[in-house]
Amino acid sequence: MSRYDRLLELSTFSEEKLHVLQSKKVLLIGVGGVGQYVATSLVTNGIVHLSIVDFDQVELSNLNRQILLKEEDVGKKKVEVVQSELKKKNSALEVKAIEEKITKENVDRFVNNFDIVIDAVDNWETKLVLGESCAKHKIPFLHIGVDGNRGQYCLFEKKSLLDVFNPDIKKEPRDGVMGPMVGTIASMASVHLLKYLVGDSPSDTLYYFDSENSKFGYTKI
Amino acid sequence: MYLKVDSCLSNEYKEGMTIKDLLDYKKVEAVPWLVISVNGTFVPRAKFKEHVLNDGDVIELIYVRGGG
Repeated sequence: MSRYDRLLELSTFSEEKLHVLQSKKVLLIGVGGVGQYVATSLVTNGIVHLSIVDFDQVELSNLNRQILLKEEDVGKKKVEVVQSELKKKNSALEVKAIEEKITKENVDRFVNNFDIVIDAVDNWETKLVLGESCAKHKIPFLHIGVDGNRGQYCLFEKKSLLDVFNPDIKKEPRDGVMGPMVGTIASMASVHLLKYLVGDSPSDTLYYFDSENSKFGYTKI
Repeated sequence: MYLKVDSCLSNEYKEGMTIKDLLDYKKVEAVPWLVISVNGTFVPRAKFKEHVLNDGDVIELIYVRGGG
């Protein structure tokens, strides 16, 4: 019996596709609400080379949506807690934890040498910096955003995040969030990413979900 | 002219209307976190003033979010 039995039984999946996932090097920026769902989904479904970046400490208010955290983790370095929890899911996992803040000055050092970069950060400023750097280095970039009753994701490959959003987007006001809303967007984005990495999902399509108006859709970028 | 805006079909729209005209008519502010899709394809913000809508077009107003 293998940990991947149920995955391999999937009619659209195969041993070859699993090997493809196991060969990919993934960089996940931000291991908060979205990042923890995505990381868990990836390392339990074929990804074994994962680097995670975050500079936050665990706070009690994180616990409504950050599924890998426990009360006893409050005050600890989030990236280290997440690394430890992910290894419990898959002991063969090569997970590198980096405690650092992504800036315009250091971003290029991070994104090089990865097959894909995932934006799970909680602010537009860093999202724009990541999107610009990935476009410059021609690295596929999965953008994920969620807040309030809305969320979206888009895997940019031929197009760039900056083709869609301009710097003024940093003025977007913040709202609260219900934990499952974060999980919904992050889970859909994770399915899309795993399928993209094996050639089964398109790039450059923005998917969105609005739970206030029961609206789900997508648009080609 | 018929348009379907956010899943609501109506014939209240004028021929030759641009995306900007539509937003003005509906009193929707083009905030930077508003993305517009016409017939399933993204329209860049710079084209709002010149993109003329056609009878039967399906327009979605998508408000994106920056949390994580």
